[in-house]
Amino acid sequence: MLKTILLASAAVALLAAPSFAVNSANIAITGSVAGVCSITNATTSIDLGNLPVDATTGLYTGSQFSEPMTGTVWCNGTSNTVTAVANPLITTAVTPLIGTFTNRIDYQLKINLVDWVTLDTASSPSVTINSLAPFSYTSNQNSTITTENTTLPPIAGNYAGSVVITVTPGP
Amino acid sequence: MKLRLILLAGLALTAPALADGTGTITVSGSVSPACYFGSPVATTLNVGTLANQADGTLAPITPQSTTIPSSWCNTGSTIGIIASPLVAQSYIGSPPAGFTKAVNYTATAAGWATNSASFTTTGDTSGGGNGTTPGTQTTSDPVAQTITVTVSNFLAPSAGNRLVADPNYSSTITVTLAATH
Repeated sequence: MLKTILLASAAVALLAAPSFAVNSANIAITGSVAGVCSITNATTSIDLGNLPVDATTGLYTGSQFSEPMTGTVWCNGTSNTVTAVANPLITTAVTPLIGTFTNRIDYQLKINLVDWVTLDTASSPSVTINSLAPFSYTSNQNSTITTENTTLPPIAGNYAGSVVITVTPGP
Repeated sequence: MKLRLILLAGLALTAPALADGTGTITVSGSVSPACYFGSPVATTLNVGTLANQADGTLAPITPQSTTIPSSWCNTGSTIGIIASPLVAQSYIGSPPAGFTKAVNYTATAAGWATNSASFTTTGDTSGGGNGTTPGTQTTSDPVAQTITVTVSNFLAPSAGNRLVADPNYSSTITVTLAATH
């Protein structure tokens, strides 16, 4: 009888043993950020004014201009690219072009795109800057535009060129 | 003489019992303090896109929740919660000035004690410097409840920080339950 009671007590004690179940839990939080680049508050127009031709030869002699080309550029990627392409001043005032005249005036552009770069619409119209890190840059410095001499008299008319700046986030 | 011996033997055989037997056996046991933690309904909370595409800063993020059902403690208990900042996992090194690879937030565990246990991460732009003391709440009674874990109040380490691009920002919240007796 005593043996039976002792066994029963042991069973009760076993049932009341403390729980060793896990008493913590981990919850993961996840999110993502896509690569993106932006240009804001950028200069959209520069007027060089009248580009005078020589009264005798009709040729244009180049000149230098200091022009504001400002803007804020940023990219959050880890392998970003900044590309600038300068297109020459062209007129469509006379079509087709008369062979002894030109409808094009080239120029050299020195611009601050994270770093100072120089483009030439005649010889090196584009430049690419690879940035390995996220960057944010605000340019508030003037760029230098140096128009080049023409070898033919430019046709009278309105000339227009462009500088296209493209920022691309890395993969 | 022979007769006397026989009589004495007869007395001995018919003598009444002089003591009654009573036994008491004490049965005892005990219940140790114990807690059981259920499994979270969702072990991952995806808060989606973190950055505002227009300016690269932290976008408004909708709070997210999950529950931990079937949890109990058979005595007073303390619930604790601690979390790490959301950190870009692929980005190596410290981000440039003006950028961050970490996002802070507040994690709360509600439904157990009268007040929610909460923890706000305090990482810097690299995710370092986070706090190490869990937020806790204690209750003196046994509890069997569903715990609701919520993440909210997402903030960049400094206002205006842009977030570096990374497909995998992640962090961990740890919720603990411990008996106090």
